[in-house]
Amino acid sequence: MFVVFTAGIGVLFLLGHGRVRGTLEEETRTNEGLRHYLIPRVVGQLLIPFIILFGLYVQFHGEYGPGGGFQAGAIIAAGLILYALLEGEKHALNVVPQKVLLGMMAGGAILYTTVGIFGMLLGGNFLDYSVLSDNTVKGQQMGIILIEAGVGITVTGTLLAIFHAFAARDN
Amino acid sequence: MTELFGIFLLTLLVITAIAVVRAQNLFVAVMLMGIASLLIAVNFFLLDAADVALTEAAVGAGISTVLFLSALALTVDREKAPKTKFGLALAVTIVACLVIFYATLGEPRFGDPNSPVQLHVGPWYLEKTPEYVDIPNVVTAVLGC
Repeated sequence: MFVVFTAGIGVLFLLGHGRVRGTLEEETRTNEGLRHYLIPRVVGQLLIPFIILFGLYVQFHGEYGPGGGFQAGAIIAAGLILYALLEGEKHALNVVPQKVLLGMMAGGAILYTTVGIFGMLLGGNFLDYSVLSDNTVKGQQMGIILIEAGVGITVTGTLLAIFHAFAARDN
Repeated sequence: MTELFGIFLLTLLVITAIAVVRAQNLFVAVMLMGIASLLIAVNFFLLDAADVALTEAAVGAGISTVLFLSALALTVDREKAPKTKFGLALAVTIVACLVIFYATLGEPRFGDPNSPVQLHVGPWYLEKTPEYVDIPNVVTAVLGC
């Protein structure tokens, strides 16, 4: 997860974000996405809720089926990127603003690290979940759910931020 | 039957990979790379590696295709003709392939129960996961803990 996080920071450094763009008309013209194409739009709008729902399923069902935070983050990010492609990047940034994305990137990594350090404070090793609860098995399960949530949040935020960093250079 | 299907998919994968290299239109190359990712994801699934298959499908076919497309939007969608001859590169690739083929001769047979993969830490994980973590998906347990 920290690999993805670092990659996101690197891309944001290289491509920049939130740069000032041309006039308003120019911006609306370049940011229309596929709004004039009816069929992709209708099918996409039908699919997006299910893609995000499947991402949440992969996230919260990771202990039982294949998947986990990383895959869930990638799937949710793919759903939101589809929205950005259909409606234009500006609409997508209205749904999930750049500040929220940066908060997600950092927040997930902080959640992961906090769980690790919390285990150290309670007398275990870094990322030792057994001490999180009286019952070691319960502690392990709690730890897995928390760090998977952290991984999912960071991966979603980073992949969306990378996409927006590319899309913002549309010129 | 499963082996036959796997060989069929791997053959398609090789054809797709050659098509990616030969494609002059970069848009076509990106789409073919998405297809290659899906093919290898199905192959992972046939080998019972559901977690890896899901990752490959989500990241390889989904996110990286989109990122390639958005990078393509910033440049032209046609490859420039290469200036240099690629005889040396071809020779290096062929030698590397032969070395890898030679290395696979020392590997245990596919699905060998006595291979190190089956005997090293794998059984310990399978045995102890229900006791220590008590979740059904061992991959999540190994990655998370």
